Amino acid sequence: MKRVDYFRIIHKYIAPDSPLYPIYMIHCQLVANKALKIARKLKLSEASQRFIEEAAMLHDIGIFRTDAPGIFCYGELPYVCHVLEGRKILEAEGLPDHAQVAESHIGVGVTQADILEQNLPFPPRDIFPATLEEQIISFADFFFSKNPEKLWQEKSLDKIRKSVAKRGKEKSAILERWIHKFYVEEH
Amino acid sequence: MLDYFSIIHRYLAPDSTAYPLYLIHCTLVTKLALEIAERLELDAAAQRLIEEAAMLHDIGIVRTQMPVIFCDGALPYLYHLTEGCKLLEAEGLPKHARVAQTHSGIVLTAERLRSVGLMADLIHFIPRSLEEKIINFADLFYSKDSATLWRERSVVEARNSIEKFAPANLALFDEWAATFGVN
Repeated sequence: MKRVDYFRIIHKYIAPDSPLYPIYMIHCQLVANKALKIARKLKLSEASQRFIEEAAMLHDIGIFRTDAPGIFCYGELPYVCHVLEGRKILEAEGLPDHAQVAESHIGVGVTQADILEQNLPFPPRDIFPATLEEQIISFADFFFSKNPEKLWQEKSLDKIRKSVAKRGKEKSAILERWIHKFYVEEH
Repeated sequence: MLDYFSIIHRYLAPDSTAYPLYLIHCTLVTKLALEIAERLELDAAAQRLIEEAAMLHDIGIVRTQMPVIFCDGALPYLYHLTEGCKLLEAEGLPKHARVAQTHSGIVLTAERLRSVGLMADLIHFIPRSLEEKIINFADLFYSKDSATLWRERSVVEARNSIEKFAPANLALFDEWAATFGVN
């Protein structure tokens, strides 16, 4: 598999001298690091680990098109749309698999019913991390925020469990399966 | 709050081949150093210094010759300690400069300094403050080699690097590992 120069792609959409850039880079590197620790624990192949590195570094690329001034994003769209925008950008870059990671990093996922009930700005279809790589990246993303004050802080499992519990029992059940499969005890 | 990205970008262009290695390496070292700082319940100012100084600790590599990490300066690699120090002093950051100068202290010997023509006393390269010690320790767990960039070394592997380069400091390493809660 050809290596993707993800720094080049990031720099094309988020200028290195912009205030968003440090937030983007630190967040994505921490998520990539966490995801790669999981991938090594599961003894995934080199190709799969490389894909996880690239896709984790690119998973949030859609944020600059959203309206989130707290993290210096001055686009028009609601923040949650960054997953679909990320997909479009990465598809246009000729990276359909990475695009799938960007679209699906929406916690444990949303169903068509969630989208209709909560009036989410998504097409009415299930959107969820389906492949092992997508699940690992979405799981790793739970641990880190892009809030500039908390960028480096790793969330506890407890905190993650509580935030997912607000979204219902089905979501919590998926999270528990992921914890069982993916959680790596740190030193 | 120090804008350390703008300092990094001044010396290392974001579109250069060395930049990704620099940024990823420094971020991983910073993360580990901050985990230690949190465990030791250091105050916000100390944690902030650790974040900034760890992100800048290797900036001197730009003046050294190290083709495997795409550094095409003139000086031997070990000079990244003194060059980083000079550069950060010139930026008006004396505490960060000390971190750059001392971030390899535990693996250094007087002989190694001499071998590359660094005549300053070893003592100037030894971390003194807690922040300096934490960053020196955290740096032992990561490489800038592109093949192993993301991989965190085990404590045994980190200890082996001390055994190889400065066996006299093994007891100090063990003391740090215990104090910093890494085992």
